[in-house]
Amino acid sequence: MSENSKKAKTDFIRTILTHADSVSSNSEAAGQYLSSEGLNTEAIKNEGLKRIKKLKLQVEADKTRREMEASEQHKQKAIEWVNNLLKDINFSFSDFVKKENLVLQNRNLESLTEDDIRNTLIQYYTLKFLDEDAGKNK
Amino acid sequence: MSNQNDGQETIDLGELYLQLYAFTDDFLKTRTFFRGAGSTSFLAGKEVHDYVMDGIEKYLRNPEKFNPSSGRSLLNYIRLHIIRTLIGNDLRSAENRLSKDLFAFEDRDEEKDVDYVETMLPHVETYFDEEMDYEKIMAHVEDAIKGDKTAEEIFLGITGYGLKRREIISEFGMAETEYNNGIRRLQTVLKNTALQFKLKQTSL
Repeated sequence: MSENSKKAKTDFIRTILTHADSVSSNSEAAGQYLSSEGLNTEAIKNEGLKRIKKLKLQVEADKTRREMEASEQHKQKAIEWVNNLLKDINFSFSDFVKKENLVLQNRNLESLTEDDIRNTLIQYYTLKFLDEDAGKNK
Repeated sequence: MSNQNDGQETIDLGELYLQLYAFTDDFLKTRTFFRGAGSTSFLAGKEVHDYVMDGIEKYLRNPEKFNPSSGRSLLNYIRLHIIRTLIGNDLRSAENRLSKDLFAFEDRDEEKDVDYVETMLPHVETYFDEEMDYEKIMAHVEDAIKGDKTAEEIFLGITGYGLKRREIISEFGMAETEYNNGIRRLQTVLKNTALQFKLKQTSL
């Protein structure tokens, strides 16, 4: 194939491709192209917006479901973690509160029952694991 | 309805949808450029709406993958990366295993913004018959648009100087509408020329 013929071939294809690029370069060009193809731009736009609205709701619902599942998984992990922590004879809740700078609603640690301590720790570790996971996914 | 991306750019979703629809419609029709097919259903029964929505869904489910600071617009991200890849994937699916098609290619330019024409050119060129007399074909196109000033200027801008749409509009001082109508007439001439010269894609 001669150089001239190669260039002619490239030019031919470049012209075809320029059309595809042009018809969607802005909304005016898109509208003109669609009308020239005998398509109803308003109907296309309305159908598109309807589909996008439905899709956005689905995406939000899926996101909420995933977050709830993730939260449940982290809670289970926190329960196991706390069970092991409480088995440790060296564990002291008051030391833990000081070390982690925990702000408790009930400031009188002496009045906390075993269940209160356990629930507080589970809540603390669930949030900690969730934060760690969110940090990894950023 | 509008949407705000990470770059705080407010997107009119209705306008975006129209542009994506126009791109996909033309993109899919260009595939059948030499077949004369007028079907609105393409691969695996999918229609233009389906491809556009698949593209938007990929973006909405993973918005963090679109990086506006790279300079790439959301329109270009969805049309040149997602939709083009979706169609490419379908072309390589079992349904199309026996045919090699115009737009079946790998996307290798994910990380940078792309110029559509220049990116597509090397892939598309390989599917055009080497034996054709392209000089004669181009002479025919030139002859067919003679007297149509806008089409002539667009043709000259593309083939003579490798100009893009906005450059042609600026260089020849034409209105956008003039350009849009001109390139459409030029496209009609190209289609007629392809038919007249029995120009076909090469196949496997």
